[in-house]
Amino acid sequence: MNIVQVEYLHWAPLFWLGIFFGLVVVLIIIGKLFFTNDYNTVGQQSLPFYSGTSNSLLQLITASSLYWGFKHTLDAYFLIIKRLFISDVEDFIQWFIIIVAGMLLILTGVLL
Amino acid sequence: MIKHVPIVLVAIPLLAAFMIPMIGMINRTARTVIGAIALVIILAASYYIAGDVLNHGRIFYYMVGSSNPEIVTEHGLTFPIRIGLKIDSFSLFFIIMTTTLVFIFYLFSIQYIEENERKNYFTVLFISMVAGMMGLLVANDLFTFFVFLEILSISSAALVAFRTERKHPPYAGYKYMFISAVATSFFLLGIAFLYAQYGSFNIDYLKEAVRGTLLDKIAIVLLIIPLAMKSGVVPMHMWIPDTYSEAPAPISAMVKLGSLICLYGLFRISFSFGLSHAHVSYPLGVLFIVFGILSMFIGVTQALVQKDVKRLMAFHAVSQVGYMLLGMGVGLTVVRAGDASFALFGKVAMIGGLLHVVNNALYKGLLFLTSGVLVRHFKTRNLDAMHGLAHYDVFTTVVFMIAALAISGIPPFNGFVSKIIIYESVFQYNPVLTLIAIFVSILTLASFMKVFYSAFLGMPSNKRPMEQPVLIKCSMIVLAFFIVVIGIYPHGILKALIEPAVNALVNF
Repeated sequence: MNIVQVEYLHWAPLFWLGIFFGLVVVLIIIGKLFFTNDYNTVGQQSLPFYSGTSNSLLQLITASSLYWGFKHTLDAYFLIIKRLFISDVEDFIQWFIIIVAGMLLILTGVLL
Repeated sequence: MIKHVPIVLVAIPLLAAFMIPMIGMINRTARTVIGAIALVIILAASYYIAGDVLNHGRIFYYMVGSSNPEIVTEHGLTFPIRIGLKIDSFSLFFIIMTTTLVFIFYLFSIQYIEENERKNYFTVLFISMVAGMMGLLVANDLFTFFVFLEILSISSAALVAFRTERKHPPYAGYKYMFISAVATSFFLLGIAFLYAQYGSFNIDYLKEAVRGTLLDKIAIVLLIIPLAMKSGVVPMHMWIPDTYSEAPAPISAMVKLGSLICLYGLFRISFSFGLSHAHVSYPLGVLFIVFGILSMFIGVTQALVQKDVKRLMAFHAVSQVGYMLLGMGVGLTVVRAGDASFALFGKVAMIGGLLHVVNNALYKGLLFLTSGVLVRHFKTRNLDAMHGLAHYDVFTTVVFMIAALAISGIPPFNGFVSKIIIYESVFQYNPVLTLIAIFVSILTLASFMKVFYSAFLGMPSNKRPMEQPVLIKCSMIVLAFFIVVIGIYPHGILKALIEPAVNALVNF
């Protein structure tokens, strides 16, 4: 399927694009055959339903609230990262010196 | 004429940068056109020599100040200090990428930066930055490399601090300038150590001459670490979010491109001096892999918790550098080992790493440009305060989706191609590394889903919809076009640019 074969790249995009568009056509046909859009578009039937609140502004979950579980689980990790990289110039110089020193020890064969 | 292309690539932007302030005082349109012409000339020059370099393996040497500019220095000969330039397939790959992208970013900036924002200064600094990039890519002696690194750093710092009327940009610019100065001082010290021993700055000569003394090893470290810092490698990455987030959008993209060019320097020096056990006692490639994994993981996890859209994208820039280091690190390790692994998977890993460089430059550039549109529309970088842009700006929504899916490694976009090559080749070196890389890709997708959900979905905002100017649209369309084309037809760029570049680097 590839126009030019590259032996290390197992990727035939035209084939997969064909599959993708084929699936889209099938979905459209299924939609036309089995789904209808004769619901009432002016009433509440077309609005999304959120349980627990009637305030539309509260329905918008902000970016900082997303993945809260992930962040909460990794609290300890983020605390360490925050302490390690405080983003001050001195902090940066400190890291630079540490890395130069570490690399000197490793690459000159002193440490390893 | 063709033999003068290396100096043309440097001289034209330098000349334009000197002309622009004078022309800008007379006519603003002429100033913008002069900048564009300079960029078109270097773009045309880079494509002009592409056939010779890539198909016929020609290497362009240029000695500035020599009576015969094509003199090639023999190993072991003493020669006067003069500026030596060189273009081979590896540098040409970066040159073509850079000339193409800076032209696109320049087009974007023409209508993005307002005339009352001291556009004369902006244009001068932008073109100076291009001169710095070009100089770095064609330099064949370490001192010239250092000089252009300084030009790039100074113009970048000034552009980061461009909006001086605001509180944070001057501080970000100062920070960038300060850390660049520290890094380049160390770099200069490394050059001095080599010059003191061998009496030459010429990289070709030094590659042969270096004997692996303690001073050589110290010099190699002092050359590599500043470049790693300028590329944004963890743990020396914290300047990246501060700098990228405060710079105007096209400058964020340009500084990112500058970081990739420093990565070019890092690879060039590592493959020149880091292959032999006599030069460095421990495989440099293994350290690249370690730094790559750290950059990928720490970058993406820090990105995931950001609510400032530009800081989020900046942390992703750190994370993406990790993929490049991983691919190139595996290649460097197996090249040094000198066994069959290089033919088996090492070369492929390097191809993946280099393809990721150009892919990253494209989608990261597009993401920074779209972040500029978001910030201009919502007047804030805070994702919490953004919502509903997709209701009335379908164009930005579509190009953002293309770039976001590409960076997340979703087919059929370009990020997928380079990532799958890296995954498959690195798997043969160590499967755990591939698993980490895939996990990082999943987190990247999660992170960009957050941006898409916050800024584009939800209720339409009360702000008046703004039609994007034509040049802004054009530049974003071109970037999106390249992302899609490389994703669907990667074979062309792999055969024409990447494979010759890898061959040139390994046989350098």
